[in-house]
Amino acid sequence: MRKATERNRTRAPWIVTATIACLCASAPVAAQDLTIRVSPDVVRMTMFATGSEVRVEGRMAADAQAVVVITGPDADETFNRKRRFGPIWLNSGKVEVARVPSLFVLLSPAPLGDLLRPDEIDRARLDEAGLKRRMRVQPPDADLSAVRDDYVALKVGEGRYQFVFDGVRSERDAARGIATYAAELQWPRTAPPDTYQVTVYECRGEVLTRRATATLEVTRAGVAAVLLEAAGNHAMAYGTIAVVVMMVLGFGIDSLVARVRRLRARRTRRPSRTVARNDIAVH
Amino acid sequence: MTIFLPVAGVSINLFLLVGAGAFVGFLSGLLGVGGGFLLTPVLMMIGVPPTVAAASDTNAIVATSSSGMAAHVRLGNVDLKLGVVLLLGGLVGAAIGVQAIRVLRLLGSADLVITVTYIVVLGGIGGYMLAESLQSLRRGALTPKVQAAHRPGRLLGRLPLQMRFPRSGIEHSVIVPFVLCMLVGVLAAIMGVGGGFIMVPMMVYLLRMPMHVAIGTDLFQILFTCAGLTVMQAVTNHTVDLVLALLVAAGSTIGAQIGARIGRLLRGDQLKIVLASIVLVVMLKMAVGLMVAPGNLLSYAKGH
Repeated sequence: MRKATERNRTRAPWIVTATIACLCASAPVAAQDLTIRVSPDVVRMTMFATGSEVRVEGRMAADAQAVVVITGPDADETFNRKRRFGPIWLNSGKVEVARVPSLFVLLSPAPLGDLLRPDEIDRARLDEAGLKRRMRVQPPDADLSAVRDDYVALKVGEGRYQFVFDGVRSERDAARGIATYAAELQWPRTAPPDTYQVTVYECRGEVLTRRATATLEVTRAGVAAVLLEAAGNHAMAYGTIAVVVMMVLGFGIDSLVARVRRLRARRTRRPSRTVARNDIAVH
Repeated sequence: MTIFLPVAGVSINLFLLVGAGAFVGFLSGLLGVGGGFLLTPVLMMIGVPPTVAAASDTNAIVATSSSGMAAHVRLGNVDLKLGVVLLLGGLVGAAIGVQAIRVLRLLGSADLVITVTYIVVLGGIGGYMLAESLQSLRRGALTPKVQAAHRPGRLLGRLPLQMRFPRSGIEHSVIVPFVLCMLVGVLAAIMGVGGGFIMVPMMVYLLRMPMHVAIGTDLFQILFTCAGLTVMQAVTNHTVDLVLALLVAAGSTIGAQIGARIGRLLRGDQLKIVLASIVLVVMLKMAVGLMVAPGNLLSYAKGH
C-alpha cells in the first residue's frame, strides 16, 4: 500500500507536466482570443468629410477564418406594390416590411458555403435567405416570397445590403500559432447616421466557434448637425429661412447676370458711338 | 466630390446635384415650367429619398422661379394683375384637388386616376401644341401674322367683373382666368406637380396670352405657390433639405438665366414645339411605364 502511494507520488509531477505539455501543444490556437477593432469607431458626417473607409481587424485562431457582418438597427418601411391589371401595371396597395436591418454588409474571405455548413449559416442568419426568413410582411396575404426578393434587390441596388465574398484578408503566423484578419469597406453613402453593430464570426471546421462584437457610430457634426436640429425643432423658422435664402439666391444671381450684361452692352456700344461722331463730323 | 445632405441623411456627388439643377433650370427659364415634374424623379434617381426630393425640389424652385421671373420682369413679360388672379385660382383649385385625392385614396382608385389623368392631359396638351405650332411655323414663314388684342366672345363678354389686362393684351371677366386656373390647380394637385406645363398652354390657348408673357406670368405664380408649399412641407413633414435645395438651385438659377436668354432668340412657335416635345416625351414615358413589367415591384411610398 505504502509502495503504491510512493509510486503515485513520484508519478504525479510527471502526469501534471505531461498534461500541461499536451494542453500547450494543442491549445495555443484555441486559447488565442478572438478580437475585433473598428477604425474609425465614429464616422462623423460633416458636410464635406464623407466617404470614410472603415477597417475591421483583429486576431483569431491560426486555423480559423473570419466572417465580418455590419448591421444597422431594424427598420420598418412602407412600399407601394405594383400589380398587373390587364395590359397595365399599377400600384395596387401598400406593403409594410418590418424586422429587417437598415444596413447589412457581409464580408467574408470566400463564399459562405465554402466556410460553413448550411445549418450554421441559417443559425446565424448570415445570408440573404436568413434575412428573408426574419422579415415580416404586412398584409400577410401579400405574395411573401416575391416581396422579400424585391425588398432585398432594392436594398442591394441602393448599396445598403452588400455581400462581399472576397472582403476579408488573413495572415497566419505558424510559429506563434496566431492569425490576423482585416476587412476594409468604403462606408455606404446611403447609410443614415445611426449606431451600427460590427460582428466578427470565427469559423473552424465548417462551424461557427466564437464571435466578437463592436459598435460603429455614424453621426452628423458641424453645420450638418445644426441644420438638422433646426429642421426638426424650429420647423417654421427653418422653412421661412429656406424660402428667404432661395429668393435672395434667385434675385441675387439675376442681378449679377444683369450687371454683367449691362457691362458687356456698354463695351459693345462704344465703337458704334465713335462711328456716329465721325459720321456727324463728316456731314 | 461628395457632399453630405443633413436632412436627407445621404452623401451625393456635388456636381451631379448642381448639374441636375442646371438642366431643369434651363428648361424653366426657356419654357416657364417649374420643373417639378422633372426634378423630383431626377433627384430620386441619384439617391435622394423621395419625400426629401419632393420637398427640397419645391424649395429649389423658389430660387429658379425668382431668377427666371426677375429676368422676365425686365423684359416686360410679367402680367402682375393677371398673375395675382391666376395665383388665387390655382390655390383654390389645389385645395380642392388635395381633397379629391383623399377621397380617391379612400375609394382605392387614386393611382389609376392619377396615371390616366397624366396620360390624357399630357397627351392632349402636347399633341395639340405640337400640331398647332408646326402648322403655324409653316404658315408663318410665308405670311407674318399680326395678333390683334383678344376680346371675349358674346357669352363670356356678358360675365360680370370684366377687366383689361394690358400687358397680356387681353380682356376677360376675372371669373374666366380664375376658374380656368382653379381647374389647372385641381389637375396639378391630382398629378402632384406645380402645374406650369399645364398652365402655360392654358394661358396661351384659352386666355390667348402671348407665349412670352404667359411664361413670365406663370413663373410669378409658381414663385408664390412654391414658397407657401416649402413652409408647409418644412412644418408638417420636416423634409426640406436646405443644402440640397441650395445646390440644385445654384445650378438651376444659372440654367434659368441661360434658358430665358435663349428663349428670347427663339420664336413663340419654336418654344411651343420644345415644350410640346417635352410634354409628349414625359407622357410616352408614363404610358410605356404602365405597359412594361417593372424590374422591381416595390417602390417607396412617398405619399402624395
